[in-house]
Amino acid sequence: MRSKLLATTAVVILAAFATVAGVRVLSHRKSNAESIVTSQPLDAHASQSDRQIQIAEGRIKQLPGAADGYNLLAAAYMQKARETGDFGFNARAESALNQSLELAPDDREARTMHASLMLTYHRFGEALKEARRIQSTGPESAQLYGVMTDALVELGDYPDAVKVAQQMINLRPDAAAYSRVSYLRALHGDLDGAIEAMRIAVKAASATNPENAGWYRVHLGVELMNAGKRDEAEREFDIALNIFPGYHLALAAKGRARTEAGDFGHAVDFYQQAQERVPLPEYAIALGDIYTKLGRTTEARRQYDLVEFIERTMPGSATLYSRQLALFWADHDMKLDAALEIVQRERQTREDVYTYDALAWCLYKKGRFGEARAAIDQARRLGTRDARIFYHSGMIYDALGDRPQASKYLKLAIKTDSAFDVLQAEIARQKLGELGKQEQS
Amino acid sequence: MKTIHRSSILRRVGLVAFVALVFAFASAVASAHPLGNFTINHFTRIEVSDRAVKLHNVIDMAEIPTFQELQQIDKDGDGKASATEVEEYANLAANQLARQVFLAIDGTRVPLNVISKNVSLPAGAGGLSTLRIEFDLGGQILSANTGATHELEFHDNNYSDRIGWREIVVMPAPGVKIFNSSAFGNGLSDQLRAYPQDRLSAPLDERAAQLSFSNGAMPAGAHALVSRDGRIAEAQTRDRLAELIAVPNLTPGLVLIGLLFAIVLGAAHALSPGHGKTVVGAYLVGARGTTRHAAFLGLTVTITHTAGVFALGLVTLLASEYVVPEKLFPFLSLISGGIVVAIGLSLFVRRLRKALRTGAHTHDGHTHDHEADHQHEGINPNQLHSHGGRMHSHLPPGADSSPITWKSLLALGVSGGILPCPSALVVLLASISLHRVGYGLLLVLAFSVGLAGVLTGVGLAFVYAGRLLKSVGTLGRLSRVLPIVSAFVITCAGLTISYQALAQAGIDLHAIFTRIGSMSIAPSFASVGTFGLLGLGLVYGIKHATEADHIVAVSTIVTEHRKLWRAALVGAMWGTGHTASLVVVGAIVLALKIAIPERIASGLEFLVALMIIALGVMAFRRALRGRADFHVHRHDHELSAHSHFHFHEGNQLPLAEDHSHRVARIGFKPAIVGAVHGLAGSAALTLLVLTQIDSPALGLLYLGIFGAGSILGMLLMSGLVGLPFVLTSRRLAGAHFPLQLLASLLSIVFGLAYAYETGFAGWL
Amino acid sequence: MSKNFSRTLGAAALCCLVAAGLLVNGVPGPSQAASHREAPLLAMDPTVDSTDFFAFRSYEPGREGYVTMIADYIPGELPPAGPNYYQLDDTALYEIKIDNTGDGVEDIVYQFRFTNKIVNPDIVLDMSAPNKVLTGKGGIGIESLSDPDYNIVQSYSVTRVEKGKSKLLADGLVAPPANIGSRTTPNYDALAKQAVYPLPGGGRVFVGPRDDPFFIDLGSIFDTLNLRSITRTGGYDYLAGLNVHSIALEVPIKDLTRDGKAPTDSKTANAVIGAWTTASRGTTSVIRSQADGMNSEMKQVSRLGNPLVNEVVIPLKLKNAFSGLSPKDDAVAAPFVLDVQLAHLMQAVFKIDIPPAPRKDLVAIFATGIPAGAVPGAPDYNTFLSDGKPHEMLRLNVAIAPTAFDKQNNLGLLGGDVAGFPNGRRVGDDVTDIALRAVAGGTPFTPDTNKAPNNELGDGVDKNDVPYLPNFPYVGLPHSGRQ
Repeated sequence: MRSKLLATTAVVILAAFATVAGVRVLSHRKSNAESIVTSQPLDAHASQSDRQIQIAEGRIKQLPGAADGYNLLAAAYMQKARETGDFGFNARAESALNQSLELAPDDREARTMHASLMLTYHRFGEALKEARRIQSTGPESAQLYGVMTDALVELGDYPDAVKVAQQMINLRPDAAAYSRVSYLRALHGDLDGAIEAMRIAVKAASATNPENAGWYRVHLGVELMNAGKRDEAEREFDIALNIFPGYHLALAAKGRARTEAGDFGHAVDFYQQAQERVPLPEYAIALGDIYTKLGRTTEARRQYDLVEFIERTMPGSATLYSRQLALFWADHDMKLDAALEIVQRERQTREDVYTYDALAWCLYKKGRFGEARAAIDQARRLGTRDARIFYHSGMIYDALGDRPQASKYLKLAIKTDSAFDVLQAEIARQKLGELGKQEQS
Repeated sequence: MKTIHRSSILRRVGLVAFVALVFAFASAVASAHPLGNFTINHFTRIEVSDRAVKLHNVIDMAEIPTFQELQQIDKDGDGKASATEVEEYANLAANQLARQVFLAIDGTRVPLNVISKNVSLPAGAGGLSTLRIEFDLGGQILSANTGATHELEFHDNNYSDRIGWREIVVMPAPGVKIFNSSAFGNGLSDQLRAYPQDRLSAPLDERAAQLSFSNGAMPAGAHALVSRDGRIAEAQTRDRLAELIAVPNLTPGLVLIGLLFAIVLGAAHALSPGHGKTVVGAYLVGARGTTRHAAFLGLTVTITHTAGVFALGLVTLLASEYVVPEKLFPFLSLISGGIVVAIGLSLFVRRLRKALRTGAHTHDGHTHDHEADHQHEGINPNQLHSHGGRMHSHLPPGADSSPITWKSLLALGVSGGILPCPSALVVLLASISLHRVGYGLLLVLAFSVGLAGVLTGVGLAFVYAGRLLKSVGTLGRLSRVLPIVSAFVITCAGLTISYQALAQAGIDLHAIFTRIGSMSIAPSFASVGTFGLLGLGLVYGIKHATEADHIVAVSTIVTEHRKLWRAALVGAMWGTGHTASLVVVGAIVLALKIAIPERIASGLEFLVALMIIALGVMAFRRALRGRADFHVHRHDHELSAHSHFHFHEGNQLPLAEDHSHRVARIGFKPAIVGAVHGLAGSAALTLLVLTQIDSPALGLLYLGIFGAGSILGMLLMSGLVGLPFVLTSRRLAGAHFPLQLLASLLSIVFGLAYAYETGFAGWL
Repeated sequence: MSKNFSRTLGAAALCCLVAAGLLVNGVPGPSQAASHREAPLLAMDPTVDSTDFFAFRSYEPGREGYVTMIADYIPGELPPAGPNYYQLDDTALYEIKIDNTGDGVEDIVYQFRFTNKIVNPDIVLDMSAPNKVLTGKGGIGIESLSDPDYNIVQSYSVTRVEKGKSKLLADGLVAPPANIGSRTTPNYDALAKQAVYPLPGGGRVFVGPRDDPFFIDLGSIFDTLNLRSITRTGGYDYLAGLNVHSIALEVPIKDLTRDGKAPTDSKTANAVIGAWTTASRGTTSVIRSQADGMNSEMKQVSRLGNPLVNEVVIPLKLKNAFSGLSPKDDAVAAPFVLDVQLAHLMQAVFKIDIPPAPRKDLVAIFATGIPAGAVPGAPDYNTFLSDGKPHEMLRLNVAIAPTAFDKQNNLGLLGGDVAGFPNGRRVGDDVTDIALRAVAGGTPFTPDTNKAPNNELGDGVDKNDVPYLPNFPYVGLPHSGRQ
């Protein structure tokens, strides 16, 4: 009887306790209101994160001793980094997190954000370890599952990645979970499944965060592209640009779509707009390749120079861009030793299929075909349907003199994405042609 | 020879600065671009005069966009941006950028034309070059009828998609009022030269500004232009000195003009407050300084100021990440303040002694003077002339030619020049970043000369004024008091400078004092530890003594006494009484941890007020009676005037009981008054208890020290307050009575006001 | 001013929602685009985030034979939300569940499923489009639910599930667009009225944007009860000017009771029902085997019954657990709990006596039903619906006659209006004030503490910013996006 009563009390107490605990959760609401009222009028085109930064700063002014103000600030800067693609904000986020952790060393929010920051810095191992540690200290958290999934995927531990992603979506089937499911399916070669999952993510995405909503749209589009559904893909990119105008990911995606459509004029426009906002090496590479294709060599040269320059200036670019750089150099038969060197270094810390692919391509270019083949087999171990991987496989098999395999994979590459690369796709076709002739003769 | 010497110095300094420069960049990398190396950063200063608007724009491109631009600039593709190529680009860029800048006044767009432009390629992170485009745009205000209010709207659409720092600053020309402005009156990044280091706060993103301006008055209810810390931005004229250095290309003519202008600016700067002009003046007057002194002073100021700027410049360049130069300013001015105070006090003491001695000396020397005085107010010029002359010779050598004076003169010069003018510093730094070190140094030098010029001028002015003073009638006597007064003035000036310095350093003495006034010193407890706390106690004690109600009360008593030591003693007595009651009540409060209720507290305050009134009335009565005695004696016969003086020295018959009575009063009246004050103050102790409940011992100790401080403070104050009375009673019997009367009346008035405030307003 | 202010506050509320979301977002560096894709880490889920749940006997004249249940979703909708106006999630399942046996297991379920149709796909993701003008078929403005200018049409189906058998009651019902503004939605009231549909077997349904009917001085309450006024007025309604999405359902009483009859005696067991709302989304297996297609089992992601257990006050770390829980398992929520903190908090803040734990009174109100005779003069109205175990749901005695709209006392039982909270919850019931008093023991259940100020507490807000409707769907019109 008594125990029963206690049990019953429990639920009510839950309510009451929750109310109190809610003080923390919702006191945001109040302080936000106040800080907004007192702060400068919000800029018309201030993004979500700009507002958020103001709010967080107001909150910190009010309660300098409380960690959550700094957590809010860190979160805002991380979001700002997402929106602008500017690394500088991550540094700000980090210092905010350090502040927060000084005030409350075991704050789960701060720790979780720190783990995800590690991801951003491509310190996947650390991110995974930290996430696991936090997870062990408290109830399940979808966010932490998310960090773990991402880390495991980047490290190439796909079986565990699938396990954790499953836990994540079972705990809370929301956009964040579905987008990870989508990526894992894509990696395993299930493009339809990937698209299906990402469509749900898009639906579930909150309109209150345009950048996030846009991100889901872009990646739905990317999967559609990979599945050869360019028109649908471009619609998603357009929507993304409408939700979050000037989104560099969406602009670049449009650029890619236009390139594959052979509409180089617009492709250049979109890539230039993307580059305007964030001069990422891959944008410069894409532009350079298009210019090359169009025979506008000086402009191409400029873009390639820019790639080199970015590599020289971007802090930590050596690790952040290692893969693009290696592939870039390999594709353009330059700095092959450097390319191989960085991708080998990268390979020591991660075993994901794309790193293996890059490694294989660099080894191939160095003429080390045996090793290249071993690597490319690893790159195909999930059955990922990626034109580039197929192309590289084909070229490697060709170098090894295995014609049937070579033409099989080159055909696959063309079939998967007839225009996967402005320049390389052309080479693939030529090679196929040669192989065909050799067949006849 | 000399020239060679100087130029070699310059070269050396330049060299040092250059080495420093390299370091500066090493440290600048981190802060070179707040948003990373692909930002394009904007600065616009909207300068509004009543006829035209000038937009001073700076665009600072980080390494990557610079690289992209350079690809455009480098037309011939030789991988280098030649001067001509840059020149071409500058023209192109300025006009292109101008098109994207929107300025509207009263809703109509104002056509903008490029006034000037300059493109430079300063080295950025890792020595990679960045691109700095400066271009000024001008627009006319058509309907500029006086007093009319205009609406100004500005936005800059250049590179609107590129991330970066965007800063807008508004600057009204003199005579123009700016209000309801969405932009601020001051910048944060020194025109994109030095971005804030703070990694927490978001980079500025100011793309547009709306404001109203008028060359008449600001309409009621409008919000005045504020600076970023929320304070009203006074129409600060922009840093013209810094602009001298930035002129695109230097011609000898420009250099010359620049130097002249720098001198003028230096002079102007010297006229701005906080440069101890008063000090200089007062000193020279008091010391009967000569042109030689003034010149010497000027030289010292020049050298100190120039040296100061160089020193600080190097600090900024070399150690900017350890020391923030702004943080140094307050300490420097604190030093100068300290020096002045020291000088003031030493002079004060020395001259006080002298004055007394001289008094005695002249007294038996010139009985006739007195008679002459008494007989006919106007004195025949010759006599005074010779007298004045004698007085001059009479003066002890210490006052103008003894080494002490030279030393203190030097110190004074240092104090005047030690605080570098920020804009001079900016010039130095700017000159370095523009590789115009030599020119920069010259400008600073010229500036210092201008500064010194004014100070010297002021000094001389005072010197002649002082001389003039002596040649005017009976005021001649004042010239004896003058040295002491001047010393006093110097001390006060020094205190003011120090006070402001502390305020700059963020130590708001006023706030602290008011807190200390109610003695809730918890914050000080927290900030300074036990040790500093006690020092604090002393300081606050001294300050506490100087609170209005205390001074007034004491001064009424002091008026009775015609000897300095007595006056001082009165103060000491007051302090003792004050401390006693404070400690006793304090001990009780601390021990029992009780709180004296608000009502009682204000009740005690009220009591103090009544007491002051009473004291005032008594002093008033005494003043009248004293006057009476005076007359009687004088009318009897000349000599009695003499005995009359003797009586005043404090011996002798006629009012003997009055005399003895007074001696007794020295003992107790002030003590009692002090006790009452202490009682009133002790009410505030409860706060102390509440805030510092944990350490009653420490609290008590603090009280003790505080008391000691108050004794010391009041001893000084009463001495100072007593001074005029003592002197007047000795030399200017005529002036004594009104002074006494004034003091008593003042205290009555003050008492009434205080009573109203504490009693009727707060308590009843 | 006040408009701006409430908008600012709206922004604040919105931002705070986003804030929570931001707290855990991923961070792609410049490198992100190709080499490493980071999806956001936690999408805030406003579309399945239930803000309020109401259940009451219809007080619209002539509808006394019905019970109305309203579930509100999507907190803090800013009226000017273009171009991405709020809509319910067409991948989620929204449900209103009824337990009429007291075991915490739903016996009757009403399910709502949504589909979005884009009229003119060339107008990218905009709820409204000048399609009539574009096609030369008329002017601008959404005049009816079938107006082509209503570009992203959200329609829905209503399904009733009883004893495992589900019956499709209606399909293709249209939810009105957002109240975009005087040009696009010129006659919103009429437009919204078109969205009230009759249901087979009686009853009606409405789904669409509405004014957030809840009123509370959130800021003060959650600033550790730092109330501007602890009486009924003098506070600030932080939810003023914000919209929500309401799912309003009117059902004949007999369709809800245990025996399928409309009871007349409030003392009979079949007179009481317990109700709550849930939102679910399908989970899936990460790697699809050919066998299972999409949409494996639906996973409940949010739940709301009693206002005090409102999901917004559940701390983040408990949120997942509680949101996924069914009332029948509420007992297992016990281990999370330590103490009746709020009561002690109030004791400390308001300097009041509070009843000693365990708080049978609170247990009764929320978990077991109010025991017989607990309230002198009040009907023993929902004690019967209990198996003794704690089941957190909104209990309603359908035999208690409704109070006319203009006669209602929004303190419900405490105000002597037995037809109000805690007998179900009407749109206007001031549950904040009631809750404060209940937790402080200022109610008849705890006579010792039923005294001032305990029984006079309030958050200072006692009415909504927008008038409620006297008839279905009872909740007020949504704020226009252009004011």
